Amino acid sequence: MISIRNLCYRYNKKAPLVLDNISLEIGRGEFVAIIGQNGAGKTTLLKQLNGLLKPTSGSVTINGLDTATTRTSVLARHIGFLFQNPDHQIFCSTVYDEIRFGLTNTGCRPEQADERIRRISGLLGLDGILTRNPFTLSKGERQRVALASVLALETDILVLDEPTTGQDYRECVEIMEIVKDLNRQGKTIIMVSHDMEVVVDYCKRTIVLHNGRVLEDDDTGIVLRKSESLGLAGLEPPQIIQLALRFGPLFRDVTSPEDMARAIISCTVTGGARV
Amino acid sequence: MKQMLEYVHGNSVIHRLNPLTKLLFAIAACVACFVSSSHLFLLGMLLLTVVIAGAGGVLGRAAGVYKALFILGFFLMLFQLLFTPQGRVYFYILPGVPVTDDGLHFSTLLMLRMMAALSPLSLMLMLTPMNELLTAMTHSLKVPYRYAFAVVTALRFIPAFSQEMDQIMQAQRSRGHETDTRNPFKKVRVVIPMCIPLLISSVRKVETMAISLETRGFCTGPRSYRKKLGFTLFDLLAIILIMAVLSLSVIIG
Repeated sequence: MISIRNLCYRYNKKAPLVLDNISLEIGRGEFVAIIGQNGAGKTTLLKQLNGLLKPTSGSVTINGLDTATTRTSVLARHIGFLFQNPDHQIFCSTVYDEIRFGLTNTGCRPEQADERIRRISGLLGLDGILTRNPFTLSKGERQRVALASVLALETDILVLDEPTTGQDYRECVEIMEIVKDLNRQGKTIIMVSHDMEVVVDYCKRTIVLHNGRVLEDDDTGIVLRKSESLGLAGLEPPQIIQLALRFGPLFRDVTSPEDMARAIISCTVTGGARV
Repeated sequence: MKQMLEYVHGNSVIHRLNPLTKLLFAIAACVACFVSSSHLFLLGMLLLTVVIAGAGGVLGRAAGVYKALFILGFFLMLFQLLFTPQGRVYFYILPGVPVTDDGLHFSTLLMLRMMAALSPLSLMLMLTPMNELLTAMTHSLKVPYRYAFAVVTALRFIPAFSQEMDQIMQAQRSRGHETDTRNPFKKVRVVIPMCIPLLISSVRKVETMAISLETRGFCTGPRSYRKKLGFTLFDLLAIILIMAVLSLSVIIG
């Protein structure tokens, strides 16, 4: 579905490599987190996926389309992209028009567009504010409007650049639950996040980028236990895994509070206690 | 645009000149170019700016400026050439549209004048740190700080805005918006989704900036200056050169 081969990229001829020989395969229905320090190349890698940036060498193929020769507006039918800052894209005078913009661009029929907007806005809790002007909304709401306008395109692949920044905890969980649902329906999700708790709770696979190279690429539970690699990339394992690491090898599969409870119970049982 | 106005860090003779000297040069060069109507003088001025760019180590960057000015100047020249029917006719480019010797004379003059008058200004901005310019304007020229600050901030924000514009274009292209079209009627429709976010975010940015300035005591009392700007021998030499150029423009006419 997404195939990246020996991708190198630099912003101009004199600049150093921002992406250094990256090869990745991401299959249909995966839920991938890309983590790393600021400046590690995360956003640059994401922008390669929908052709906003073209490879200096190597290749990126999305659903069989080579991004080097395909325009971003064509790739937009395959890959939805949510930017960090919602204010970079919002320009319409109503939330409804804003969500509709991408649909018109990709040639969606009016009745179909209408139906999609209603469904998506219901999903994101925007149905009450469809006629409001997006500029009068709070930052969290604007972020959800931007997300809605991307989701409305119903692309197979969703690329999210820090979708939970500026959201409070409840909004963050709401957004991630929607994304999780979409993933369950078969959509491929690739997201950049600085929030390790979000990564461990939702993403199945994690890629650690450091200085433009792939440092780790494996199941989230495995990657987030590699304290050395994470330390090199300036990251820390989420609290639940830090705790599990201290408890020792019996807790090596723990990635959530439920796992933790189960592991503690089984330990105490094997230790002779009755539960 | 971004490259034409952005400061290039360095420590050349030109960099170390008093900002006032450079400002004077930019203004004097502009005046001289409008006073003189000699091709040779304007060409000489242009050459002088090339020398200054070389001395300041920004020749590569300046080449971009010359290119942009040349393209602009070329179109100006073309119009001037086609709409000057006076003088001896060389030939007819279209029926009723002659190319004349007067046309050729004035159009090339216009183009040279534009290039020679504007490039010193862009060079001055490339070779002077903004805060030094600000200090020079308020401390030496006694421009009220409020106004000097506004001018300098406007210049300083141009690179930020152009970066912002890049981000906005990328965001809209990701939503299937075609940003490149040659059809002039479609162009308006293409531009709206990019201009509005830029406008809104700049207003937001300015608002935030105004508040943050006030919380840090903007314009509440007499200011102190970290750097003293003195005049050196080089400044004196530069000013003599500027005066010579100005006098020459008047003499040649």
